Amino acid sequence: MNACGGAIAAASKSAPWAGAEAVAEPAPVWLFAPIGRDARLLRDGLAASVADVRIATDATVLRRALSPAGEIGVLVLTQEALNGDVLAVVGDYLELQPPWSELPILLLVDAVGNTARELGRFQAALPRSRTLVLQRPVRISELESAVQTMRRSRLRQYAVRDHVRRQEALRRELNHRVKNILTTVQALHTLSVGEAADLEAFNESFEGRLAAMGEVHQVLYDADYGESDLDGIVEAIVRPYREVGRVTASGATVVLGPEAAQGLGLIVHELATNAVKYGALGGRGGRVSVRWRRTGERFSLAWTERGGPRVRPPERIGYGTRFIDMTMRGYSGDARFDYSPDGAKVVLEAPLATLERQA
Amino acid sequence: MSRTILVVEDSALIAMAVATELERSGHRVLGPAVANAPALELARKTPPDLALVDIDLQGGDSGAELVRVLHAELGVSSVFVTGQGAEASADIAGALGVLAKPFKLAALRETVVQALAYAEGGEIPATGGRTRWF
Repeated sequence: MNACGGAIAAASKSAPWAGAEAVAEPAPVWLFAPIGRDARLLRDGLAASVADVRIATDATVLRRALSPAGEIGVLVLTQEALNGDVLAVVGDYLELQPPWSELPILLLVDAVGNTARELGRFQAALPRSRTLVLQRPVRISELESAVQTMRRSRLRQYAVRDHVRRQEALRRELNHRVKNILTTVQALHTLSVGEAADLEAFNESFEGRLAAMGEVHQVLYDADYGESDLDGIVEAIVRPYREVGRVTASGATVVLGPEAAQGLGLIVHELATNAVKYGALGGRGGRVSVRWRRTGERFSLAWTERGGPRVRPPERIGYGTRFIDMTMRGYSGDARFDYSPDGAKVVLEAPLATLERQA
Repeated sequence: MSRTILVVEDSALIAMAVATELERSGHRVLGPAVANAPALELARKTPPDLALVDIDLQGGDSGAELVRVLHAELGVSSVFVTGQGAEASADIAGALGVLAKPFKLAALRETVVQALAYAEGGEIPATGGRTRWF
């Protein structure tokens, strides 16, 4: 007896829903029907609604199809395929399949009276299988409908798999970022302790730097840790001074990658803190201008202080200067510090490509 | 004993803290470099006794690749200093071990001492704390 019985010729090859609801999932439908032309007849019957139907010629081929590396949409077996080897192959797959997977199996059998023994054996060997049993002869439209329903269910399983993988990737990325943040905060702590004269000075500098990191993080978070505009980063740091008219900031549009956004944000924080302690933002009447521009492939930013106390060059290179210098060198650029008596000026330069890079 | 140590780390703050600590311990610091090309340029000019290398570097550079080249070209051994310990593999020629972020400065000091001894033909140090040796 053939797999589908005599109904094949009479059945429509284009069921009304076929094609219109074609399943996008590329996972193939595998057939194992070892008797006569059954496999080819089944494949031809499904050809109108399923693009990828493959035939397993023996248990070895079936084992390859069911390997963890392969993807399988639906497994179609005929009653004659249920030998010990095949049951072992399918049983192994069901046993080892991941939690999101429940391989749909379509089993084509003769009238129940003739197949009770085979069915019993199948159910005993594969208690975890999700199997639909159709009795032959099967109309082609019935076969197509069953396979499409099972493929949709399988498609959903693959969607769950992809979701789980994305979640796992996000979890790993989050773990990596948290470790980096903790290490950065630890470094900030170490460096702030190293330069502070006393606990009060440490508290002030450490809290300020941590808060600046928080401000920059918020801007980056709002940009989904992608591109963020330099104007937004500068604004987040100098907002308190800008609001009272002590700082003016403007420049060309420069879209920063996350690393450069954090680096430049912390640099501006160091410059602002220094200006409050020793420069134009300390007393009354001082002003700071922050201007940046693009010149060809280069970026430059000038931090210029005016109207503050008379400036004297620092006696030693402190944390701020070292951090600014090291960060700009990391961007293949540099920082120039000019301590003119009437106001400090710091000019940062770097290739735009380094600052705009996303990775 | 003072040695020359190459620091490859793309976070300026972490690089500064590591460099400051190494200098405080009496070592000479090369870098910090933020990516493979500048790190190699420094190392070719002054071959270091040891390199401390993060895995995820600027511009998508891979510290693992840098460690391979440092070893193949200059015979320099490295210790990964990274939050991605799983990607720091013993199969990478020239990699002595991995110091997991975040770490205490005392762990950094101890790791450098052990790594220098290991690189100069000593026995594999005992894995413990934040450092795993290959």
